[in-house]
Amino acid sequence: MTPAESAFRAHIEESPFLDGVDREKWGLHSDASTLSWPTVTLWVGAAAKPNCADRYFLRFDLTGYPNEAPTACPWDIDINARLQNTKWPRGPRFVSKVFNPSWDGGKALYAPCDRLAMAGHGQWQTVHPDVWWQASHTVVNYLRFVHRLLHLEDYING
Amino acid sequence: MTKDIEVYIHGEGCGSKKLKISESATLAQLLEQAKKAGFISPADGHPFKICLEDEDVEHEHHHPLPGCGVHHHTHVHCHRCEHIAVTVTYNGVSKSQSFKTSATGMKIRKWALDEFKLKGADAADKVLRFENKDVLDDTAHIGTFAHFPKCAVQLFLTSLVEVQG
Repeated sequence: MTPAESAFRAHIEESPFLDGVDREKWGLHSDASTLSWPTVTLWVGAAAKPNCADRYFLRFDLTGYPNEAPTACPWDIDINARLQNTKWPRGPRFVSKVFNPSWDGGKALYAPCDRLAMAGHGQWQTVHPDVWWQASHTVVNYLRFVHRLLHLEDYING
Repeated sequence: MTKDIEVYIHGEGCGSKKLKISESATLAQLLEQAKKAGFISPADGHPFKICLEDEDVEHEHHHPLPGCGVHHHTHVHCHRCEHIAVTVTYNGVSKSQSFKTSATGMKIRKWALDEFKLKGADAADKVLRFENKDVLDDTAHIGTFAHFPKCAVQLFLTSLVEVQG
């Protein structure tokens, strides 16, 4: 097991992650014993709204975790492929900025904690210091950011 | 026959920890277990006050868990402070209120929005931040961020910043 996988497995046994699981904020899609490192699928709960999904699955690439930031994109677990653009969560002011399938081919979230999006966006370190990924962060930081987005009034549907 | 339950215990400056304990144990036994797990340090003569998440009642240490509402996945806060004096600043105006250590970020945010008379769209994008810009999570306990004997926390009510650039 690589140090990265070992760190991730330790983090998902810690209280911040478990608390989110018990509060149904997020969780692993599959059993931890069947992880196919460095790819991990997690779900994040969304606000209950009519005609909206109540959770979204994110396919993470956790290469180099936690020294390197994770990268993730919405995932369709039924067909085991990237979620169709029309099914991505939306929200005019905040949500669609981050869940933007037209950015970089929809390979990742446009987020200050996402490895792909961070590249070339050094200014986010100043504008979003709480979200900008640091080696001291855990996957919970990424999940909290997404969970907060999906509970804004701005979130309208997916 | 009693069974074990899992309880989240929160403390000053240390987030939370999930502990397994008999459902018939007392709060004192829960504290003891938290001490053994290295989660909380032995008190310096100041007793720990124990409250459940978002409740205003302080429980006696000898009370059994079920008698004071501690069940599977209940969140319990132990802290040497009895209350936390929370000051929230918005647009240069500050308001203060005393909260139990177990008050969640959501409870305090709702209070702040009400105090500053923010509703609808004006309220929807507001979050509470610390001076270092970290956001106070809705499920975090305010006591986590106060260290006895300084039983106070300073927060700022701000708008979320759109990700762009």
